[in-house]
Amino acid sequence: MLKKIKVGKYVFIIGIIIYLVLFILSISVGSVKISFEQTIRVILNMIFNIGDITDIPETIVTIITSIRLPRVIMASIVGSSLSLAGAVMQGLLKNPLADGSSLGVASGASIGATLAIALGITLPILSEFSVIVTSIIFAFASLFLVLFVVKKIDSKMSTNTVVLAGVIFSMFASSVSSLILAIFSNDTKKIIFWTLGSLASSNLSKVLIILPIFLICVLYILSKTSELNVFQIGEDGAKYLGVNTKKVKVGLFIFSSALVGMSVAMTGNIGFVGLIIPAIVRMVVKTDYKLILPFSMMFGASFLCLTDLISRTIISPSELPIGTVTSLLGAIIFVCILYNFKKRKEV
Amino acid sequence: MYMLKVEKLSTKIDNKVILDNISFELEKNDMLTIIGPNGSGKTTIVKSIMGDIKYTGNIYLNEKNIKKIYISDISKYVGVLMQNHNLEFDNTVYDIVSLGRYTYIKDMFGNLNDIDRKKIDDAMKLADIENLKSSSINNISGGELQRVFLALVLAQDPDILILDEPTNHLDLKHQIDIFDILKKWSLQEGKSIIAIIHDLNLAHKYATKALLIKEGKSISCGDVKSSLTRETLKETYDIDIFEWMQALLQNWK
Repeated sequence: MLKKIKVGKYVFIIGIIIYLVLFILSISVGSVKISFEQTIRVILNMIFNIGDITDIPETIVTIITSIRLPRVIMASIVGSSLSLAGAVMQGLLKNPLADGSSLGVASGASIGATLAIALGITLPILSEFSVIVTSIIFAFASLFLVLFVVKKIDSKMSTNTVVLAGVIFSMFASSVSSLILAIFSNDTKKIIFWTLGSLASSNLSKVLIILPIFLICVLYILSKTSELNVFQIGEDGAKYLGVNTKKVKVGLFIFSSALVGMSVAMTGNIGFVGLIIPAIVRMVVKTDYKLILPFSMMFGASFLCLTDLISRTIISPSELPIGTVTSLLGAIIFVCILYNFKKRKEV
Repeated sequence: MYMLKVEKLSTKIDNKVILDNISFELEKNDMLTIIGPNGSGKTTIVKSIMGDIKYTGNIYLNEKNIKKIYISDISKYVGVLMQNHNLEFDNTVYDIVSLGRYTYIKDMFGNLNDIDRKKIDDAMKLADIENLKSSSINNISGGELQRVFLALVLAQDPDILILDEPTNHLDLKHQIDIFDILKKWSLQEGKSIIAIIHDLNLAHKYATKALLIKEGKSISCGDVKSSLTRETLKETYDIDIFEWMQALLQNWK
């Protein structure tokens, strides 16, 4: 175990460096090229108030602070949320194919967004965030609906019942979304584009909304690593070792679904991240959740920064939907890693 | 002083009586074996003690009603070795054994301290799996896997260990190994054991007390010599097991 932590530290430091490089790269690359030096100086000045940036043109400062920086932060938050939730769900449901949306929150959030776009719902006060707020409400409503139904069917809330209810609800919710799409065909393009996901509309106020929820959820989940470790031997086993299984399980379901629901509301449905990043992390750091969770967050953030960078530069000036890039790139990276990993094991 | 006292334990599931007035006591160094046909309620006794199902009657742990003890505290006194182990991911043996320390860990990040590490090492030594420390759970034999989970409950350091058919699917040599480990542990550390055992010879050799049940009712209970006899077995299983075993042994001549 000691050796494992040491190796983990090594990989973690490399991971952090990769993430920082991607972070800076994402800010400087774009239709307006900004030098690394200027990027770093503006960020340092903005956050720590150090250095003098009066020699940098104001347009560049504005591009960094109000467009690119919020976008990269949003990519990092959403990427780490999706991967963290995926890692938690895979552990709780004991299923490597589970991800953060296994409880149906992503589909629930989609109904909310589709409805809001199709009906042109505008909320008082929060008119700018109508789509986001509606989909967050729908995400939570669907989460609690699923948990309520599971509780009614099976008072022990066994994972099989939870998975089944989640899958059924997801299918139901997708059909509802399609139905709305079919009825309000005027907005089809807008809705489909939302479904495929995009970080283009990220701004500072959205980041400020998502950040506190993100931090609360992450803190709760990271405080439950021992419990997730014990869950690996099964629910009964965990209970006999002294875990309050039902409370921990429901807590983790709620907080990880909140992460996913909120991410989907902000950026649309970005698939595959929550499935693939934890799977890759498991190959590197095996089975200790003290490592799996932080690693998933770090790799998830890097991965989404990278895919966002690709999606907005590859056919510039227009953008590819990020969901397609994550799936394409993710599948290729995953197969390569899996191939190398199996080959190395055989030797 | 009793470590565990079960008093008039009765349970019903869907109006069907599963356990009817079961009572027994467990003292230091005792190994109580529960014997009975499939479906006679053996596992239900274990589930009642662990608070998994509703029951009438009383169960006392160290003279305190077990219903008034938090589950996280019960796990400091009672360990359960389960029948089946299903693992999805590629854990190492050490990882699994160290989970036994969960209930003692106070560190926010779940780190083990020196006492935890010593208990884990001792448990692995006792279960004779030290050489498997960094092996993957997926690459060891069924007998080894059972000893890994035995080490896990030993690392939990309970006063009472409950075993539900601990040597299921193991060959005779491994069955004897496990019971030798358990016997040594209970005598050395002053612990007691409840074991559901199907092999009557093993039960007779290793247990100090026996509880025979049939359709939820106690046939006999007490010292193994007086309660696990030809007559009580006949009543429990409806066949003369002694005669049957003698006939089996004749085949070897």
